[in-house]
Amino acid sequence: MTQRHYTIPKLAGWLLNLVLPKADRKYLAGDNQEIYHDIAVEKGRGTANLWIAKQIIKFFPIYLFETIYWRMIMIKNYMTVAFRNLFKHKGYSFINIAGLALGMTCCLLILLWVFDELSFDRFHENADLLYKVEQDFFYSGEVYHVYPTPYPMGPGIKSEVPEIVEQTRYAGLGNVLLKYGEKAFFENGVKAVDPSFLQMFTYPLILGNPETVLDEPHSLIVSKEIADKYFGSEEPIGKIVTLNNQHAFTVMGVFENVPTNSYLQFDILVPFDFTEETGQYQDNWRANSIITLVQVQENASIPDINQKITKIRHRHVEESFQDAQSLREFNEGPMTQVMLIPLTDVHLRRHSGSGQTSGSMESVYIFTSIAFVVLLIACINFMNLATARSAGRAKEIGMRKVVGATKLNLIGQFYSESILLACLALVFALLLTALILPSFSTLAEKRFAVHDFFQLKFIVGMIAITLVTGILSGSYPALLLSAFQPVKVLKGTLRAGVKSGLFRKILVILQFGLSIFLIIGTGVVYDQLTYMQNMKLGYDKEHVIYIPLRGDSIKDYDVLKQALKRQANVLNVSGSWLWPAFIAADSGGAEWEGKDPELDLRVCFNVVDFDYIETMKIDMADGRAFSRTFASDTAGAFVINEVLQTIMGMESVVNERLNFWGVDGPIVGVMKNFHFKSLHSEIEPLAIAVNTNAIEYAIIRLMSGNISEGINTVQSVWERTVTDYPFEFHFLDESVESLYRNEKRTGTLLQIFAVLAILIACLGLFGLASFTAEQRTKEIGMRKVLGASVPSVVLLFSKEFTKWVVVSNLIAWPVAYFVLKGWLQGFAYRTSMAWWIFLGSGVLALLVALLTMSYQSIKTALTNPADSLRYE
Amino acid sequence: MKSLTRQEEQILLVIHHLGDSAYLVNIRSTLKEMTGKYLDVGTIYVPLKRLNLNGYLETYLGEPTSVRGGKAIQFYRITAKGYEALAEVKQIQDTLWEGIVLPVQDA
Repeated sequence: MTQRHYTIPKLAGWLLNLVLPKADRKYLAGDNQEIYHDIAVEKGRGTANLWIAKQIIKFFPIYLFETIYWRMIMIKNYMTVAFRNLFKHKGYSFINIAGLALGMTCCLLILLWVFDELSFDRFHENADLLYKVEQDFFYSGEVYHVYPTPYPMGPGIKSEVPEIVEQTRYAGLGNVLLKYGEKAFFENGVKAVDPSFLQMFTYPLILGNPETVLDEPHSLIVSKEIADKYFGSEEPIGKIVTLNNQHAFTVMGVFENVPTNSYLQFDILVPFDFTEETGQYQDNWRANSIITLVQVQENASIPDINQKITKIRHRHVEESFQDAQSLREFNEGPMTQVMLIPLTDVHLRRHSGSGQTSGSMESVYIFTSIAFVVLLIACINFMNLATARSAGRAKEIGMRKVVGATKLNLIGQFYSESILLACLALVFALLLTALILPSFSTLAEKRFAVHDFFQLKFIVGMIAITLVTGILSGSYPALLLSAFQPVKVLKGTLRAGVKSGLFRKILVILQFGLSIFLIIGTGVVYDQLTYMQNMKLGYDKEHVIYIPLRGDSIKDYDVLKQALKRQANVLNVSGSWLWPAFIAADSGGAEWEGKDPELDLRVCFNVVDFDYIETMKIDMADGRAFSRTFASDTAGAFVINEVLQTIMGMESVVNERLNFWGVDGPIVGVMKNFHFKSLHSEIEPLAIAVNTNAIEYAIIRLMSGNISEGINTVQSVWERTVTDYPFEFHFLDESVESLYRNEKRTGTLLQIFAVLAILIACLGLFGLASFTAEQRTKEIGMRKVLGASVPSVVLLFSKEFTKWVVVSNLIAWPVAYFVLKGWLQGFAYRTSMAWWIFLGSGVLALLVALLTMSYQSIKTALTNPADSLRYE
Repeated sequence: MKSLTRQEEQILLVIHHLGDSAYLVNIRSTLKEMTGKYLDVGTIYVPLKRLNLNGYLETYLGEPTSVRGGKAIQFYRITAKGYEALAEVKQIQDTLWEGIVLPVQDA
């Protein structure tokens, strides 16, 4: 009987072949075929086809299991070999892991920092709908970006623009004395907000109803920290506190402490109407002094809103002009642009203009790249040592290849080895990170804690860093080693790491180039800092303290001044309306006779007490300082600086009349230029006038001999004259220094990174040097037998590495020069980059490198040739 | 010694019965006769493989045939260790069953 053979369809056969376990594929295919045939004979092809499909599906989990099982077996083997290698060469392993761990620690810290920076204001439920209102002013063709907004703007734009669903104003009340019973402290974070504030933003309340807590006038809510500070374990709700000894407020709620990654920072909130009561409120669309925040509709077009609010502002300002002349001028000038800035962007991407420096996208980029540079240096160590020692692994690779390993298998093996090492390094890096986290938090001015490690994005970032490190450092060894030819390797004709010599040189040069670059960076940043600290500011900031006056202690200023002046160790007393370290107010509208009508000028101004110029020790260039002997000085008189004099373009401006900031009076004197702002900007035109009623800071120059005694004197005088307010003072020189806090931080961070980079690079160099020494043991022995001296052998050794470091210098110098030149552009007053910083960094790197190698080279040079020739 | 699973025990016994013709296809059809259900190839393969790895079964290759698409047959034979395991299972079973009379149920 001839029977037909039914065979499995091609596609099914192919699929079946895929999923059948490799080892038993042959006979299993036969078994399947046989059963298929039987079923086909008995029940027809269709049923048989269905059956075979089912078999394929049933085999799939078995296939998965088998694959993973064998993978695991192989990985287990790789790991065993990797660990054996690790322990066999403890020194190299230490260098590799330590280097990687240091590099990864840098990355982890920077990662924490970057995530924190990027998370600013993301925690609000409707973060994407929240915007801050800012403005662009135009003067003489230049753009001035202005952060504050007028008081009436918020409600004004909300009522006219339907896309703006909610608005709140946010005004600081300055330094406020908060009293509860016996407890009295100055609080900086007191802000006045509209009741909608708590609905727009996500600052959860612990106690109180967010819808109503700020509805009543004289209600107030405090952060948990403040509640604990004042009320301890008592129930805060319903407590009565006083502000500046004048205003009684009822505590209506307690909110969670404001997270550090919030742009708005406050401890106490009061209803906005309070600003009207204190007289702070100005119903004026031309005075920009508070922050306005809005919430827009979903899918609202921001450019459209910008256009609308720009027009609204323009109309209101237009209405405020009384005379036709200024109205015409206003309408002819360029229109001030009002714009919405996403709240989540406010911290990261500050618009240009002066203002407090804070974290920015730029430093996120800078620090991320530096962290990766350090990690790269560590990865290079790994590559260098792995390729250098490739000969040691060559036999193993040869064997694996002979037994049937493919190139791909070997690449996999080396990758898994480097990833294993990266994982080990990660463990150490995490420990190290946890250890230095507190000091890092202080440095970065953030509150990091170990529990930040457990956020999902950090874990993902951590895994990513580990994988990148493993793959980066493993890639070159993997590709190089897997390409060995088994015949050559097993016959022993392959010379160790010859091919990779050039590559190793390039890597070492790269490592040292990067390290030198970081050292130069540190040097230049510190040079600039010293330069700024030692620069003559034009006034004497030493031995000066200032006391902020607030609330009704302002009224006591005169009494205080008279009492202080009587003290022997107080040289001089004066007062200022603005913070003496940084005079931040400026205004347009200065007028004088013969002024170019085209000229549109911002002039800085300050209101001071008599003796200001004497107390600050500012030199006069022309005319006189303010004096009580001239009654007209209080009625309106100006002292200006040389910059303004130059702009006015007159030979002598003394007795010329100046109309500025609502005062019309003569210029009585010209001060020599002094730096009343930070050294980031050039000296701007300045005019000061006397008004003893506006003083908010008392400035006291003490005798230079015994400062602490002087402070004690001032304190006792203060306590006698100003009873209601605790004594609080600041040193002027410290405040001036605080203007450069950001630069200092950059300097410190750079220093740390530079030290780490050179450390890691030296670790690598040490490894490489000892490898070379090992390789050349016989050669050195021969040389010594033939009469070479120890110094000549040491020299021979050092020469090669020295060459590399010198080449690194040549590469690092120009790069550093251009990068740092860019950084220095941010300062109006900057040091010239001294040549010795460059040379010094190079020499430093070279010395450290030589020192690192000296141990190995001297050790090798001292070996008895009899021993070294017997070596192997 | 490791005890056998019910399925492994069945397969071992079937292989014993089949003698020289014990291979996957036959094992499958014999199991069908005993239990009334065809098992999938993969379902038999896994215990066979495990028994083989544990040393209860040894394999030898047969001739390829055309009905198998030119693929050789892998036959199974119980090893001494396999018989030991079976004996142990049987002893446990016997001990457990000793003296038990199940109530007879009428159809």
